[in-house]
Amino acid sequence: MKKEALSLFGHGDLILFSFLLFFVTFIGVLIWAFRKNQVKFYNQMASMHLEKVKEPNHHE
Amino acid sequence: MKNDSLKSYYDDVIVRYFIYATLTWGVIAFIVGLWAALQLAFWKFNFDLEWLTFGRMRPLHTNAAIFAFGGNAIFAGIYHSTQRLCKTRMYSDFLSKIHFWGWQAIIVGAAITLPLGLSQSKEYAELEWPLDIGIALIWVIFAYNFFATLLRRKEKHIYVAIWFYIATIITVAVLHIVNSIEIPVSLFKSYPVYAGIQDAMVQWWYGHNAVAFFLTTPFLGLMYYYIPKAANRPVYSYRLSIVHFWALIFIYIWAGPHHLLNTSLPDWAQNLGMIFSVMLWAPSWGGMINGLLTLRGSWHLLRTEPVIKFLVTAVTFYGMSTFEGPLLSIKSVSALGHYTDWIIAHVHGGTLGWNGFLTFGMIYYLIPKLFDTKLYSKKLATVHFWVGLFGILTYYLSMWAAGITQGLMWQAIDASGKLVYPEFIDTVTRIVPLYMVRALGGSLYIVGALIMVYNLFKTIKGSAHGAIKVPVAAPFEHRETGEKETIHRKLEGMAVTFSVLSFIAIAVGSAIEIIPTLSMHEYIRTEAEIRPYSPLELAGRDIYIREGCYTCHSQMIRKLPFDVLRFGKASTIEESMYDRPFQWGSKRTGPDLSRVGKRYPHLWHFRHMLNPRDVIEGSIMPNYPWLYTKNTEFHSLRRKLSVMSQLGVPYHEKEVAEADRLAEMEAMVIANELKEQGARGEHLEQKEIVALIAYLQALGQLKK
Repeated sequence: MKKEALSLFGHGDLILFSFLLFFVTFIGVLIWAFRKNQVKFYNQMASMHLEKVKEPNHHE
Repeated sequence: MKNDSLKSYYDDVIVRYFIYATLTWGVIAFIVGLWAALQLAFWKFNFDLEWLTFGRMRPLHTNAAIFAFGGNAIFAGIYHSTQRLCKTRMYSDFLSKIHFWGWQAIIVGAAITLPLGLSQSKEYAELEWPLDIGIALIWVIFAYNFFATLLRRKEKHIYVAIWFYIATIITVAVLHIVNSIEIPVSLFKSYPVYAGIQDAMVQWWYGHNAVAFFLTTPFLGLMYYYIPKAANRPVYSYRLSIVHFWALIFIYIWAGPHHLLNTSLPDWAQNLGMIFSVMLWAPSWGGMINGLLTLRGSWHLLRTEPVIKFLVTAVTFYGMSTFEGPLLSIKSVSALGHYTDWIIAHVHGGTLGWNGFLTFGMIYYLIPKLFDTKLYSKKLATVHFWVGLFGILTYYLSMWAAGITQGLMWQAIDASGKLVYPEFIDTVTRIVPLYMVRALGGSLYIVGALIMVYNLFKTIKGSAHGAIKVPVAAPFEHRETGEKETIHRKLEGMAVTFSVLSFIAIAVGSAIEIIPTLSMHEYIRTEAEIRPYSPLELAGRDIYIREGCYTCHSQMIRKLPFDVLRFGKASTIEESMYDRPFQWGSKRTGPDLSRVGKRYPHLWHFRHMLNPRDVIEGSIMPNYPWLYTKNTEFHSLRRKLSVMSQLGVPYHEKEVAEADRLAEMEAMVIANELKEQGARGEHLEQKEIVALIAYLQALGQLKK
């Protein structure tokens, strides 16, 4: 009984399914990230944190 | 009116609070770590005091380092950068304050309960159920405040750092809640609903992802914000950061089983964990390269700016750790490295180098900004950098050498098929000098941290104006007035969508790995194979858990020839089916105990626990004299067996109802045998040592 039960847990299907799921997601993200019309947007985003802020003029 | 005025400034008070907490708890965590290191180098540092033994100090150190030092550091960075990236003040100052004080209260709770031995013995999740509930509540408050801030942001787009924060907040909540499902027995004692292999799988799904989503993703978010800020450069590749993020969070969640390689965990789960761990190389290095190449054109800063030195070195350590992690996840490499100090080296390369140095760099960057001044001394910061770096390398190399030395000694088999080093203690005494070197490395790291505290103190004291209030900046993109409402709604939708997608990414891997494992017990006829612990054995087991024996002893003989030769037949799933919590362990400073039962007479254990060196020359194990004076808590056994029974352990009703009496009878038998063998002591049958001996003698002897 125990051996039979344990033999059910080869789960090669799960490993295959996991790979396929990751592969599809990864390809999807790649296509989405490397859309050609997004260059300007990405450049803007890459510099988003660099914009100048007003000089602090108040002290606590 | 006053509120409106307040909203036009960032809340940096909370950032400063979290920085001060990071520094305070950081120094404490490092010192406790050094203490634990000294206890392994010189056993007398245990001082024969129960609150200070290694088994209780080690969880205190790991919890303090991860959740007190690391936690406060990420909160400081998240509160600071999120407000600036969203161009708005935090949603609620009140919630921010509850988060801060609540988190500190939990840390204080941990600092009190762990030395008292109130522990679940699950690594990085040792805290008992009231504190578990506290963590969940405080985390929800933090999440609510964060997401409410995100939803009312003035900036249209969500910068990459925030993605990592979102993934962190969602995943840590899921991990903590799922791993902490337990049934209370008393105010500070509980049993997990998972047992044996289930508990092992859930715990290491949690444990590994505590590293992934508490010590990696939030720090990557900080990296994506503070490296470009400090270097005044745009992120090298925003596209790469997108691929980095999604690939990382999708893959990371699957990697937990690499902590259980070659054990009785089913091969499919081991293979899944190993393969996804190896796959982690790619996104991890993608992130590292993105971080380092952000400095292109600004490498000269590395010579002059201590902040850049710390940040770049941190990212380099991230690269090294994320190379070594997948390497150790390959089954054959794990066979050598697992249970040894190589893992300790790996972990500390990550925490001291990646988390520690990134935190130091961030704080050196933040304090002068928050006080509108310059750092008191760049020279001192540079000294801190070199002393700290030398400390890490000393630590890392010594533990690397210790781990590989011991691993090879365990594996050594001669031509006749016998172990070359059959005495486990021979493999311990060989590496004790390296434990001394490790303590030296840790000391240097602490010296560096103290230099930083002094430098920052002088910086703050020397600031002309004190802490400043920074006005909220205008959004990056200016929107048309007429479109504002519609666009804002769309953005809110995107933030929610993004969070849901992140949740799906981590939920898929978790479900595929854990759900089949949780159902495994249904297929094994445990009643026919294994008996549950007797009431006295269960009492002894709780003492074993209280003393943190799992920090040095495994209870899992791997399916490896040298493990089987040394400790006996490989462990099977059903042998730990009633173990709540499981005690497979992750480190062998002492030998595996799965089959120690009946290997020695009671008197051997009696003498060993009082002074291990009486029976094993050169042992570095602490003495446990309090076990000979404290009485076993027989009165709590009915409740304990009742909870176990509710959880499915096949105890008879009569056994539950008479648990205390049965345990006392069993204790009397063992005490009498001890006396016959020559043990001395008054009312031995009432003492904890007898319960512990009952448990140790049951290990490997539970088959019917």
